[in-house]
Amino acid sequence: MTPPHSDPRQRERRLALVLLALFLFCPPVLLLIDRLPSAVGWLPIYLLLTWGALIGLAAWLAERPKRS
Amino acid sequence: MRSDGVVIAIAFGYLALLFLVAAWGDRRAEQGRSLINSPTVYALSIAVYCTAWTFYGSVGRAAQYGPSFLLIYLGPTLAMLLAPFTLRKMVRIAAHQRITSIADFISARYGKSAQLGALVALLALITITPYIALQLKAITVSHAVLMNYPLSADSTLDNERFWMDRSFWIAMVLALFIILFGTRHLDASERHEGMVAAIAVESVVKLVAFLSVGMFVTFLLFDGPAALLADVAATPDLIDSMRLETVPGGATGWVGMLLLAFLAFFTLPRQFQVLVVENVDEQHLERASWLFPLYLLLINLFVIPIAFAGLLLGKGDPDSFVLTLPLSAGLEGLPLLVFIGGLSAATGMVIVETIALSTMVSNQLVMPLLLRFKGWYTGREGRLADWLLNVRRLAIVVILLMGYLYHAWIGDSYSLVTIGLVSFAGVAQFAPALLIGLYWRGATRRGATMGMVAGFMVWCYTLLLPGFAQSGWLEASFVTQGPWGIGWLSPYALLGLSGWDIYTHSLFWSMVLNVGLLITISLFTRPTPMEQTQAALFTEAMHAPLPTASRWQGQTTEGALYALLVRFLGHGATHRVFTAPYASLERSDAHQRPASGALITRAEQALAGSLGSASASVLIHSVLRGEALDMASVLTILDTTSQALEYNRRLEQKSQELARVGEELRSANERLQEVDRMKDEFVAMVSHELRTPLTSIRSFAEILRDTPDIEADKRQQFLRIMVLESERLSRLIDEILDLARLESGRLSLKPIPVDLMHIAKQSSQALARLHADQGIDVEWVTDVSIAMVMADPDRLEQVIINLLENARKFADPDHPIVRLHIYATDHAVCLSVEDNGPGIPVDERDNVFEKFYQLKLAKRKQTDQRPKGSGLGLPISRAIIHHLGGKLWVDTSALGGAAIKLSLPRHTV
Repeated sequence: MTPPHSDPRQRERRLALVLLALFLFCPPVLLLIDRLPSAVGWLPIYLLLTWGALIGLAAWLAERPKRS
Repeated sequence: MRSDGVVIAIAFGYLALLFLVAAWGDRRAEQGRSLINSPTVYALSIAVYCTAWTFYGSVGRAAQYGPSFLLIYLGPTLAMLLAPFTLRKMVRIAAHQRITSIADFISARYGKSAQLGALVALLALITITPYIALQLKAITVSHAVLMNYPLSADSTLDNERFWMDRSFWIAMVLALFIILFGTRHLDASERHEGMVAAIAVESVVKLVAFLSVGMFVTFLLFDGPAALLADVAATPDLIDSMRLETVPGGATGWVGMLLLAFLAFFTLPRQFQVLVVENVDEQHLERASWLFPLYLLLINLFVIPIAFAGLLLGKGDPDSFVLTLPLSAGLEGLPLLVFIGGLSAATGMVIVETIALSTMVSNQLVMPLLLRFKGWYTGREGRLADWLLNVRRLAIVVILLMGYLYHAWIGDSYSLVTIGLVSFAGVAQFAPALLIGLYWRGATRRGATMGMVAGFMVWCYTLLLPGFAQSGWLEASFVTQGPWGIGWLSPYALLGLSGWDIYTHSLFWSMVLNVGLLITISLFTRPTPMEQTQAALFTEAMHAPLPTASRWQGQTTEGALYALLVRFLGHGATHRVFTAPYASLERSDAHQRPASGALITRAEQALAGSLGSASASVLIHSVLRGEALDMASVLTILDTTSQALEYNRRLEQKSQELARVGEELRSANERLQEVDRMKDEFVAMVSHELRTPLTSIRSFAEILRDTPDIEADKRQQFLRIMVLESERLSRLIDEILDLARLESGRLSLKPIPVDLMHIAKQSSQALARLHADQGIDVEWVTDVSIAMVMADPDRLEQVIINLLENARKFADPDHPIVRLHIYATDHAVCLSVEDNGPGIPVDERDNVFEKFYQLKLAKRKQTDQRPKGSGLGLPISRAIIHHLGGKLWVDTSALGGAAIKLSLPRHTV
C-alpha cells in the first residue's frame, strides 16, 4: 500500500509551502510591512492577502491531478 | 419581534433542527449512505474550532489588541498545511489502533499506560471545563444583550436564579443531544455520524451569520471598506490600532501566540475528536488542508471592519459589537440571526468537547479504576456494555453541570478571550508528548509523564493562579510583587523574564520544562517492551503495517476470550470479532481451542475501541496464560521488522519490474505464437493449393502413359487440361512469390505519375475477350477526365485486372453486370469495381483480404464447390495498394453485389 502522495516532490513542495507561510507570518517580514507608511497600517491587509494566497497555493497543490 | 418568547422559541427551534439533522445523519449512516463521507463535510466539522470565542471575542480582541486575533487562526492554518506530515499519520494510527480520544492516543503511544491516559484526561478536564463555561457565558450574555438593548447587559444578569438562566436550559438540552447522538454505540472509535453532520450544519450557520453582519456593517452602516477606513484615519485614537505595537508582547508575543494556536489546534480534545477520531477517510485531509483555512479566512474577513465600526460609533463592550451594531441600527432580523450564529458556535463546541471529555472520563478515569476490582466485572455477565454507556452518559451530564457551575460562580470575572487563551496554553502541554512521540521512537512514558506534569504545573503557576488573583481569591500582590515578596518568583515575570505577554511567557517556561524533561528523562530511562512495541508502531505508522499479531506470546482459549468480550461488549459486537467460523462457539470443543495471535489482536482492538487501549491491554492480559514477550524478543522483532521493511520495499520494487518484464515477454510470446500459427496455416494452404493442379496433371499424364492407344481427340483434351493446370500452377507460384516479397518488403515498386483512367482502360482491354465470352459489357462511369496518381503502372494494372476478374467470376451468371467507376475526393482518386453477384456480408468484409479466404470459406461451409480463384488476389492487391499509400476496401454496390474500392492519393503537379 503506497500513499497517493508518495511522489517525493509533492511532499517537498508542501513542506516548502509551510516554510514559506512561516516566513511570511513571522516578525522580520511583519516588521517591514508594519513600518510601511500609510494612514491605518498595512498589516491587516497584508495578512489577509498573504493568507488568501497561501490557501490558493495549498489548494492548487492538493487538487491538481496527480501523475500516475 | 424581539420578545423573550420569540427569542427562546427560535433558539430552541434551532436546537430542535440540530436534533433532526443528527437523526437524519444517523439514519443515512445506518443505510450505508454516509452523509459525512465527504471532504467538505469533514472540513466544515473541523470548523468547530471557531467557537463563541471566535464569534464574539475576535471582534473584542481586535478592538483591544489589533491584528493579534488573527494569530488564533494563522496557527491552525500552518497546522493544516502540515497535515500531510502530521495529521495523516495520526489519522492512520488512530484507525489502526482504534483510538478513542487524545488521552487514549497518548496513553497508547507510551505503552498503553493507564496512568498517563488518566493524567491527560484529568488535565483536559481541568483546562477545558472553563472553556465550556465560556460558551455558556457567551450564550447568556448574548441573550441578555439582545433582550436589554439599549440598556447594559449586566442589569438583569445579577439577580437571576439558575432556572431563569437560558444557558442552564440550553446546557440541559445539549446534554440530551449528546447522550442521544454521542453515546449510541459503546465503541467510541466508531464515528458519530449524526453529530458530525449537525456540527457541519452549525459551521455553515455561524459563517453565514457572521458574514451577514460583516456585510451589513461594512456596506450598509458605512459606505464600503474605503469609507470606513477614511473615518478611521480621521480618528486619532484608532490610527495606530492595527499596528504591531498594539499586539501584546510585540514581535515576541506575535510568535508566541502563533505557536500557541498551532499546538492547541492539535491538542484541543474537540479538535482531536473531529480531526482524527471522526475522520472517515484519510484522503479527506487533502481537501480539508486548504478548505478549512479558507473557512477561517472567511470568518475573519469582517472582524476588523466590525471592530472599527464599533469603536467609531462607541457601542459598548467590544465582545458584543456583532450584536449591538445591528441592534443600534434598529434592525430586527439580523440581531436574531447573529444570536443564532453565536448559539451555533457555542453549542457546536460544547457538543464535541463534551463527547471527547466524557469518553476520556469513562475510558481513562473510570474504567481503569473499576478494572482494579476484578470481582466487579467477573460478576456482571453481559450487562457491562450498558453499564459503561451509562458511565459515559453520567459523565456528559456532570461535565456540562461543571461547566455551568463554573460559568455561574467564577466566569464573570474573566473576559471571553482570557478563558480561551488560558485553556489553549493548558492543552498545549499535551503537544510535546503527542508530537515528539509521533516521530521520536526514544520518547518514554516516564519522560512524557514528567514533562507533562512539570509543564502543567508551570501553566497553573503562571496563568491559573494569577487569574484567581484577578478574581480576588488571592492577593493582588501575589502577581505584582511575587509570592512572599520574592520578585523573581513573580508569576508573570518568572526569573525576571519581563516584558513578554503573559501567554507567551507561560508557554515559554512550560515548554522549556515540558520538552526538556521529556527528552532528558527519555534519554535516561528504559522503556518497557510494550512501550517499545507501541513506539515502533506509532513512529513507523506510514510504512507497511507491522506484524502486530506476533506480539502475543501468552496463550488463551477461544472460550475465555469469547467470555471476556461478551461481558464487555455484548453478543453482537463479540460475534463480529469472532467472524463466521466461530458462530458455533456454543460447541464445547471450540471453547478449548487455543486462540490465534490474530484473534487475540482483533479482540484487543475491539476492546480498545470501547474502553481505551490501556484497559483493553489489561483485560487481555487478564485472560492470557504465560508471559508477554520479554525485552530481548521485542528488540529482535523490532530490529528484524525495520530490516524487513527495507527489504520489503526493495523487493516490491524488483517484483514490480519483474512483473512488467514478464508482461512484455508474455505479449511478445503471444505475438510469436500467432505468427507461427499463421505460417503453419499458410504452408498448409499453399501445399493444398499446389497439390490440386499437380494431382490433376499427374493423373492425366499417367492415363496418357498407361494407355498408348488413346483416341486422338481425347489425348488432345487431356493435354489441354494439363497445360491449363500447369498455367494455373505457375500463376499460383508467381502469386505466392509476389506475396512473400510484399510481406517481407523486398518487392520494389517504382511509382511514377500515371493516369488511373488510362491504366483502368488498359486493364479492361486485357480482359475484353473473356468479358465478351461471358457476354459481359463493362459499364464505365467516370466523374473525372484525368486522374493522376503516383503508382507503379504494372502493379496497378495487376490490381485492377484482379478486381475485374473477381467481378467477372462473382457476377450473376445469367445477367452479368460489371461496373467500373472512377471518381475523385478532396485528396484522393478512387476506383470502384462493382458486380451484381451475391455480395459479401458485412461481417465477412475484412476476411476477404485474408490469404486463401475462399478456401477457408469452402471448408467452413462444407461444400465441394471448387473455389473460383486462388484466394491470394485480394491480399496481394491490398498489399500493393498499401505500399502505394492508398486503401482497398469492400463496400456494398448499387447493383446489389459487392463493390471493391481502392483509393490512391491524388498526384498534383
